[in-house]
Amino acid sequence: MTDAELLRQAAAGDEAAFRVLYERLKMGVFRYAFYMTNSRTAAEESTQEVFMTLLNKAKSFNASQGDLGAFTFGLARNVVRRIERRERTYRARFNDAVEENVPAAPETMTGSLIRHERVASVRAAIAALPEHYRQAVVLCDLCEFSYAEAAARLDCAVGTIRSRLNRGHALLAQKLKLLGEVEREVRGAGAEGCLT
Amino acid sequence: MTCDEFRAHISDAKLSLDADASEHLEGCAGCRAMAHAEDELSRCFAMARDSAPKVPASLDASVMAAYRQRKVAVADRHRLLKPLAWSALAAGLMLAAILLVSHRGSRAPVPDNASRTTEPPRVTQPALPLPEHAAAKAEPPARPKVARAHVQAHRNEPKAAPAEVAERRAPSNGFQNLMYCDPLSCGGAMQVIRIQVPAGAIDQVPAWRPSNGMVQADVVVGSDGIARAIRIVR
Repeated sequence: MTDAELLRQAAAGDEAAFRVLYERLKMGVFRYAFYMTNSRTAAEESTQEVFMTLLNKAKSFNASQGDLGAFTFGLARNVVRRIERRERTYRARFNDAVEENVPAAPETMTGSLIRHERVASVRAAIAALPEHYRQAVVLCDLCEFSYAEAAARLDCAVGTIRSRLNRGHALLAQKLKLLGEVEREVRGAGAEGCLT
Repeated sequence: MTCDEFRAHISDAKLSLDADASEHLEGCAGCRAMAHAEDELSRCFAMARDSAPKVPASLDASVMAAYRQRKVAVADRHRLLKPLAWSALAAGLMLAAILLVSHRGSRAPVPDNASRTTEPPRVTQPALPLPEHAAAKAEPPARPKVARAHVQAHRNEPKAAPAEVAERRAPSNGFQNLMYCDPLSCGGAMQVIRIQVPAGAIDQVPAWRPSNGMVQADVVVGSDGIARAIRIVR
């Protein structure tokens, strides 16, 4: 069954259809919101709001104009933007993204801590980018969209995506300069500090 | 390969460099630093991707609960709106019926020979008599000086007896007043016009029955075009 059919049935009150649709789309929406806001709470809130908005706007979705994934991404983008605007004045950013997946390979305590710190720094640096660079970096580097897909999602040219990525990477490299120093220090501390 | 070309190449090719790019990289320190930074960033992104949080089970439960709540709310809204919609529909139908009936009523059947008649005479509402001081203030438009002099002369006259006033209002020559008349409002030249109207168009129904449903009447019309009195002519 296609996403559009599932959405129609879900809007009509079919809970099973909604569950299937939610399972299909939730990961993309949640991760996008998480990378954009660097906040798990905001990502959860965004995800819930996106799905409720999706149900409310089910009638306005036209499958001939694009797939449901793109439609949902548009909703997610608007919701995330609104939540960011709302939270900007109240919250110091990037301080609640502390819980990550436990790595598959066993790590030493120091290595694990440094890895967590590094990941947090990277996310913080990404979340601190201006929005248009952040969108490009999140879509292409974190959500692993192709340039063409990202361009379609953001409704701009592929060349624009490419230039935004270059600029975004340059800004990130500037912000993450400290990371290199930390890494050198850890490496100098001995075998336990190996990060690779 | 120039630095710009190299940078464009590296952004597309990521970490796999061809021979030209590798050669440029060996000779250019700036591009080497940039390639190193890209390399670092790629690793950082991979690390960030791998450690991204999974969607928590609490969120799944929360979204499904919100869905059920919405379903209930939609059902409630439908339950509330249904009788309202029916009421609105019934009211609309009733209004349409009323409009239809009134429209038909306004199109009453007209006698066949009505088309042969001239326009019905202009009938005005009887004017209320004004008090004397108000009547004096009211200036009738374009009234001839003769009439004013007549009014002035009338004012100087002693007031008429009530019987005389009654006679003026209902003259004995068969005319019936169509409006209140006194020397102020009915002064000046008058014309008598004979007209033919359908019998049903006038209040004064004749005792005899007209053969073709039409009656003739004399109408007294003032210089302002307003009918003052009417008389049925046999």
